[in-house]
Amino acid sequence: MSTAQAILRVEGLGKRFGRFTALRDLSFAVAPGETLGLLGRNGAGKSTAIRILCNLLRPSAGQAWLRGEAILGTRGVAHRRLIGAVVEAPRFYPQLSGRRNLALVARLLGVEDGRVDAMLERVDLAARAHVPFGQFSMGMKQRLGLAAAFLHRPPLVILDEPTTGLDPVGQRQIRDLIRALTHDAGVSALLCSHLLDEVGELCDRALVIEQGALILEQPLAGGGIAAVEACFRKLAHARDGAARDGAAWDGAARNGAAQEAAHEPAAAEPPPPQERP
Amino acid sequence: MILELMRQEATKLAAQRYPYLLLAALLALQVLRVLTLAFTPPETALDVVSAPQLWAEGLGWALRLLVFVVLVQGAMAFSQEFALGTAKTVLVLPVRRRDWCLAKLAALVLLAWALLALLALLGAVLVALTIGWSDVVREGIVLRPLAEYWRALLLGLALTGLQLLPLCAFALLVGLFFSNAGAAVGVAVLLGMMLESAGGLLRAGHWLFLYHLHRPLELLTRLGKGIPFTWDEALHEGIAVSLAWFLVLGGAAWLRLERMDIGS
Repeated sequence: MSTAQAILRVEGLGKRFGRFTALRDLSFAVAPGETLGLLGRNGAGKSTAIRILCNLLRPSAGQAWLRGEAILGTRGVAHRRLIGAVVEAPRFYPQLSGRRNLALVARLLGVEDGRVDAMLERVDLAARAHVPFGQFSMGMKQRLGLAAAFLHRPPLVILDEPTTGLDPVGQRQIRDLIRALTHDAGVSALLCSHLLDEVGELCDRALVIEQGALILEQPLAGGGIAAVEACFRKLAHARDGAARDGAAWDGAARNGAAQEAAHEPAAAEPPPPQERP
Repeated sequence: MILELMRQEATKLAAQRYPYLLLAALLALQVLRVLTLAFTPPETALDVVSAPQLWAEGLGWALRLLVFVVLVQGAMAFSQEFALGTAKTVLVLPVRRRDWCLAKLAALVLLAWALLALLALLGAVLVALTIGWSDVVREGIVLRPLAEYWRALLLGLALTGLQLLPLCAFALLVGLFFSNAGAAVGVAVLLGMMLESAGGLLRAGHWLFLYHLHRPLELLTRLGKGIPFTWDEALHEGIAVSLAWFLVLGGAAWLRLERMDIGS
């Protein structure tokens, strides 16, 4: 995919919190209609990247372009109409009903009121729309979050761990809903998760982040998830080994493990992974 | 966008319970104070209880609690959004941080002014029902006719409203440093009390905004005893100090929100 075609392009994104580097030189692109998975262990830097792209954190380095327009560090907010986002667990005002909360979002997005009811129907919340958000179950909260993210028909949605805290049935419902809302409507998505099966099921391509750096980029068609799984296995093994030997788990060790993982043959003959330097 | 955000502030406030409890406490305090003053017999024949005095003293008492209400509401404005995580929900939408800050500040100022106007109105009704609106009279001599002090009452009320501006900006700014609403309210109230005390203790106290808050109503109380409402140097200073602090604190709140990382 050429970067000119990409709906979202990220170049050299970095974030430091004091002396701690949470994200370093992250570059990737999302093609129109593609669902890109952002994988990594807890604290790897996935959510930091998502928050920067959602205007919640200021980047220490790098830039992102949405349909060719720079979106980081700019005063304009018009580009945010092109993004729908759920950052971590969906948060709304607990004393207001689900419908009232969604109506507040709709007014800030300039969306007509009728769309609110349509989206509530779409995410199967119409019957419970008048219940205060504070009394919603976790699954209902996630569905309301998805309704808010897709309310204004954005060409790109950013979903940060959308099934966290849900039971298997709830996870299945949310995954089906995400697939219906993205694939069926041709919406591009950046899905952040630490669940391999979720990314394997919903995404076209996966990026693996470790210690704030991108270590693997893997197309997932034809069983590519096996290469990602191998990468995680090798990473865990190398990290355990480094801890056992008292060696430093630094960039070189991490990249070595990632490269080794990327070359490990997978049973399902996945497409060749794209190694990162 | 700012108007829409202000409307949302009103929607959120109306859906909560504690503002109604605070309002009830505020009104009850003023009713008690006015009734106590109105029905307490004067100690000497020279003491008078006049309409402007009663109105200003009742309002002055309620103003103490109003300051508390503004500090609580202002400190919670942002800290509660951070605590609930709703700041993330708002800021991923096409909302400028500057607009959000302005909307919250404007909503808080309007709330403070609405409460002040409500208290002033209640005070006026209570005065009318107890001693009645009439000239300020001592031993049969009219010290100040009713027609003359109306203008001073409105001016005093407007000046009190003006002095509330920096308090609103101060409370909002404090709330921006906390992601726990309880801690934000506690610190705002504590700092507010310290600022009020510092006004009397320090030589430079008159440069603090809370120092001037009660002066217009004190002048009205004096007016109720026959002493003219004087447009003096201290009133000018109070206006300048309040406006300057409002701009500084409001600007600091905007800068703080503009530069902060949300949920890091």
